[in-house]
This record gives sequence, C-alpha cells and structure tokens, in this order.
Amino acid sequence: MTALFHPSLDTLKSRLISIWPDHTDYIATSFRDRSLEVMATSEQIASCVLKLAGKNPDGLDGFCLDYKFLCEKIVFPEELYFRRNNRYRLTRFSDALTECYANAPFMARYMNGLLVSNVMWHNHACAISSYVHEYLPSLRAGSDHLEIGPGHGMFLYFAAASPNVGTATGWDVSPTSIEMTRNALAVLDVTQPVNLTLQNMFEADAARTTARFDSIAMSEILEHLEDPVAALKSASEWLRPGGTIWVNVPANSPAPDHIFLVESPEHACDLVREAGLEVTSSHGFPMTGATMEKARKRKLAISCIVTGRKQ
Amino acid sequence: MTRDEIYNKLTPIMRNTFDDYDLVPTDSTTSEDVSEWDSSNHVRLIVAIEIEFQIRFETDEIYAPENVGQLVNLIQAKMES
Repeated sequence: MTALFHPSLDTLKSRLISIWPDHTDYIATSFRDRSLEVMATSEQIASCVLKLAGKNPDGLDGFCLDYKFLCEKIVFPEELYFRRNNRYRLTRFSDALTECYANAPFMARYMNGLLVSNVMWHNHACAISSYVHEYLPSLRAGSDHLEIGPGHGMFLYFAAASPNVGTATGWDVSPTSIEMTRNALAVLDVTQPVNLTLQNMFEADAARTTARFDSIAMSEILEHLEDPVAALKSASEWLRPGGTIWVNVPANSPAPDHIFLVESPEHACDLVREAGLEVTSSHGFPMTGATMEKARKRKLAISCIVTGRKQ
Repeated sequence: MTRDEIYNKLTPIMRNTFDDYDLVPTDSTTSEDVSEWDSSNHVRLIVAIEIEFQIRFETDEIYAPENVGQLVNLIQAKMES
C-alpha cells in the first residue's frame, strides 16, 4: 500500500457524496492540503468508521446521514445563535444534560456524526494526527496512559496501539458511554487490554490515591464543562511528576452541549497554566477552508491542542 | 428601500464577509462565483445583513435564495413587512 492509496477514505467520501451531493465542494476543500501524515491518520480512522458501520443497524449510509444531521440540524442552529449573540447558547451543564445527554436517540446520531467528522473536518483530522504522530511518540516507553471521556474510542484506539503506552485506561461518568467505547474497541480488534472504568475524576480522592499516570488525554472535554480549570486541576492530581496532559479543545465552536467558550489557542493555553501545569507545546488547527489568520479574525472554529506538564 | 439602495449597503457587507474587495455582486451572482462563500461564511453574511438592515431571517429562509438577486428580494420584502 502506497502513501497515496486510501481505499477506506475513497469509500467513505464517495458514499457521503452520493448521499449528500451538496457537500462535495466542502470535502474537496477539506482534503486539498492534507499532509501525508494527516492523510495516513484519516485513512486509519476511515477504516475504523467502515468497521463500526458494519455493526451499525443502518450501516455506512446511516453514519453518513448522521453526519449530515450533525452539520445541518445540530451545528447550524448553534452557529446561527453564536453569530447573532457572540456566545454559546447554553452555559450550564444541567441544561446540556437535559437537552442532549438525556436524549439517547439524539446522542447516538450526534456521536455517529462526530465520528465521521473526525475524517471530514480538516481541523478534527489534524488534531487527531497531531495526537498520533506527535504526542504519543513523545511519551516514554511503558507509559501509563489515561483518557478522560473516551467517547467513540478513537483516541484510545490509537493510544492502545502506541508502542510507548504500557497501560491504557479510560474513565467516563456515563455507563452508556463506557459501553459504547468498549463495543467500539472490540469491533476495532484492539487486542491490548484497555481498562474502562466508570469514574468521575472529581470524586476520586487524589490526596489518598497514588498518582498513577504518566499521560492523560482530554479530547473535546473542557468545552462541555462549567469549570475547565477545575477539571484540569483534578486531572493533574492523577499525574506523576513530569507527566503530561494532552488537551484538545475547540475555540469558537458552537454545539448544543458546548457551554464554555474558548476564544483562542492562547485562551486554551491560559486554562492549562491556570491549572498549575507548564505548557510545553501548543497548536491551532483552523476549520476547513480557513487560514489561521482568517479563523482568528472571523472567530471561526479552531481546534486548540495544548500539552501541559506537571512539575 | 430601492434595490440600488440595498445593493449600496449589501456590497460592502459581502466584500468584508468574503475578504473580496473587488466583488461587485449582481442579481445573478451565486456562491459558486465567490471563492470564500461557504456555509460558515454564509451564516456570517446573514447575520451581518440582519444587523445592517435591522431584519431577522427565519431559519428556513437562510439558505432559500439561490442568487444575490433573490437575497435582495428577500431583504426588500422583510423591510416592507
């Protein structure tokens, strides 16, 4: 297989275009400038999507329709509200719980749509590629790794496959989410043991518990919380000295369960520093079709990647 | 407001929204003719129009116009209602 051979991407893109022809130009723009590394990661994710679609009652068409639903019915109304009001519509976790998390059919479509967005949205694809090609290789061999809120399982999938990850753990507060992650990892034939646990990091008494992780990933978690700094502080209590937290948080990215507005990559770095961590690296990946300059000027979505180290 | 008066206000909005200061929109201009006229910038355009013309689009009106001419018709209708 050459670097230019992407059969899973081709299958996913062609199926999506057949279902949603109006999205053709967007897809072309999104894939226009992807590096070989990003394309390689996107091909892997597309392959995972195809495998997971095989277990979906509505198949790949169902995933594509859920992605279209995400763009048109979930994100678009929130984008309109954001542009009109310069803020996210919801600010309380309890409201997001009522509107989103308690609505199982809605959440299923939302999660499926986000899974496909990890391939189709340029900023999402670059964020995951950064995790796979930069962050995971930076870990010391045998690292004990934790992901908080693993969701669709893609980041745990890559972590479990990393030669530097000795143990892989996933925590979530939702039994449904834990089961979704467990099922996804089984479908994706993840053979390394992954310890999935119902665990609220705020409720763990870190003062009496040995800090036991070298690495923690928090991908698209902070924007769902009323107090992201508190979450980062709590998470860092589980880190060994010198351990790192990898944060992926979107700026200016309206969604029905996004309640904390991060306004820029610099704001994301400030949150990590406020939690007492040293920022060792940061990247910003603007949304499809935008340069970083235009994304900043127009307050378009930017995936902000920050690595923080515990002293 | 006449169509010319609407275009006088709409043209700078479109130029600023799409960062295209040579843009001269006409009735037949579509999103295909403007390189940065994607869905995200379309929402920015709509909100900028709402602010400038003091109107409010219904959700199903936002993507209804097929060209700038139809958009101008819609603006005119909303201002007169």
